[in-house]
Amino acid sequence: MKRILVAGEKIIITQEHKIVLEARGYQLLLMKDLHSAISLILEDPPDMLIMEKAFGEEKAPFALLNAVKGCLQKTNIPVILIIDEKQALSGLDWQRYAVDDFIVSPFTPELLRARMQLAEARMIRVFDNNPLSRLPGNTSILQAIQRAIDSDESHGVCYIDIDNFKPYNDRYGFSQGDDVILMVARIAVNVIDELAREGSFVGHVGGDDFVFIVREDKVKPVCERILANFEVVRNMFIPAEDLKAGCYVEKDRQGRETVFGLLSLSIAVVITGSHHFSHYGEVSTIASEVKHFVKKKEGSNYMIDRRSRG
Amino acid sequence: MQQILSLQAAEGMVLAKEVMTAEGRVLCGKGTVLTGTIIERIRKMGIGNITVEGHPVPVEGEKSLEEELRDVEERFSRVKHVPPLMYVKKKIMQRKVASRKAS
Amino acid sequence: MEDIKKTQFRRALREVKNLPTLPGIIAKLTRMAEDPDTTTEQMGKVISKDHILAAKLLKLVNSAFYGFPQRISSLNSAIILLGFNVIKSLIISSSIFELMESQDVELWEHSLGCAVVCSVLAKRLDVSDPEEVSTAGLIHDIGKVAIKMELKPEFEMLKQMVHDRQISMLEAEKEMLGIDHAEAGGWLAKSWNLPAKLVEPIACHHNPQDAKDEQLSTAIVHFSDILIRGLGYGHGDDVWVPSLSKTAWQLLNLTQQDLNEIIDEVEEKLWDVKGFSLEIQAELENSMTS
Repeated sequence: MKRILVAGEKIIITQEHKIVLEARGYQLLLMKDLHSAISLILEDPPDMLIMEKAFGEEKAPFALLNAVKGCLQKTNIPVILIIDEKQALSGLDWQRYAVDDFIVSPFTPELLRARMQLAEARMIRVFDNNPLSRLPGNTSILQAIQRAIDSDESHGVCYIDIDNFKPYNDRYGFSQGDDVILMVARIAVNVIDELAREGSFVGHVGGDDFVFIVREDKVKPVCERILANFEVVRNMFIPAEDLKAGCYVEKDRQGRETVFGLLSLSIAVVITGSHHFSHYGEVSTIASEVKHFVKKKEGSNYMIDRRSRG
Repeated sequence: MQQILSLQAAEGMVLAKEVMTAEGRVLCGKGTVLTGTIIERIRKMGIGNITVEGHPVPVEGEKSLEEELRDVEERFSRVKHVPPLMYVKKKIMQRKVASRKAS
Repeated sequence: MEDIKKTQFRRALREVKNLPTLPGIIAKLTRMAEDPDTTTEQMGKVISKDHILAAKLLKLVNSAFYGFPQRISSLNSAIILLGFNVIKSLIISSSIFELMESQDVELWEHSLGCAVVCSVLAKRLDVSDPEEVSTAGLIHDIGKVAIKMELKPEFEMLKQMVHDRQISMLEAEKEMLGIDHAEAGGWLAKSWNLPAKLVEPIACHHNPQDAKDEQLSTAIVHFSDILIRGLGYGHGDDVWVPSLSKTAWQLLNLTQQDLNEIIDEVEEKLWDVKGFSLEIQAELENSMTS
């Protein structure tokens, strides 16, 4: 049963709409106030949000949208905005109204249902997101790198790698390993959201590899904050005994007992410069060289390659 | 002298003790007359409280020392058989007396 | 009969949805959230001073949806993992006390004061994660808020019992409800998927000898609750210092010299609590006039 949050003050969804949609297996949660709508999104997120443009006070629609689109785990919840004909004709600032579709009221239940199905289908089609982290996957990453090297502005393409991740998985199991991946994804997204929201990108290559792209001047503060936040949160993912010892002994791939360090992060950064590269492949080649060096250092580190300056 | 919150500081008050930063540096010495600029700096540095001359900030319903000590007595009245807590009580009372003597 | 009642109370407390926060704190946080220069860290600092918001934050980050059940015991980590947008939504969704009674402010100050003592003790006793113990101290009385909100008529009667018969709230709760706020807080924390490291100190803060895995942090919260009450941070008519568990006291192993230094350090740090309390009251007045 799909749970649909309908947020609106006027009665936009009539009894008729309700009956038709419920017969089609949708559960409608009607909410008239911002407070309870946001509580639901926070604590028990719905599968879709349908909202009136004229919902609540002036800033309320944006607060509601932000509750959905501002959280990584919820970006794939489709949002349909209900507007009137006048608004549709005069046009809205769709950058501010970061919704997936709109529908002009009044409308029949059948039309609404069709739009809902489309919104769901589009979400699946558009997103090549990683199922665990919900971050964009490889196709999007390659496009984003290409965009960065084509841009007039210089960007940092930053590859995050979790050190000692394989022995961690062996010791604590892959379910805990998945938690660590999710933790790194959230740290990176939240830091970039706060320090470098404009023109940035975060993607998940797969496994314990992530890529983020920020403007060159943001590279240092973002890398430093990600590493610092990782140091704080990491301790929640390692049992006290191991944390105290600072390392643990596990068998390596050849079956020999080896001492492994605790989890840390390595970030390899390639600065794109202005039109220095022409193809994303060049960036990833340099990145793997940098990665090789930064991974050799003890603990969490980042390293910037400035060859583009040449 | 009176220990007050930096939020309660006002121009013209005189420091009875030096104000130290978190790193242990002296920000203003004893005897400094507070100005708007100094007060703002103290607040911006995140210094929570200062000690000033006299008793410039009236405390609403402030209790006399005797009343305060009676309150402490009452709070600890049901743990008289617990030596460590009786020691805690004694310490708290001593501090109350000492803070009044200083003013 | 008794058991049926207890089950009813238990069910009612489990139902608790939205625990209210002090309006001054929400006013301050709302103002901060609207200021583009506010950092997540600054918001986190204010949230870490409120027992209700702290509990909600931990509930969110440990919920199945966000992906870290029973794992996150530190507020700093919770803030880093949830991020600015989720915290902003949390503040908008928070309800406030409709009728603010002096007891609510007193309980808030008691909780924050207890967290301060916990942090001083935890550092002194070389606990591996002092922040975790201080968080447990901050939310140790969450059961009291749940009882007040979910069992309103019973709560009024409890207050009356404390007033008329001069008994402690704990005794009144046991007599009337058959459960006490520590037990209730423990259930809540458990049903919210909070890590066991927080659940036990909350559930056993009046009976630290019952703690099985987290004996030291439970003992710290137990003694901090006593000390902060001794310093005058109690609430309501129940002003008395509760009794000290022998087991906990032996575990803490504090000398008189230790106590002297602890009290001095705590008194110094309590200035921040008083300052913040004044700031919050001023914030409330500003928000009402503007």
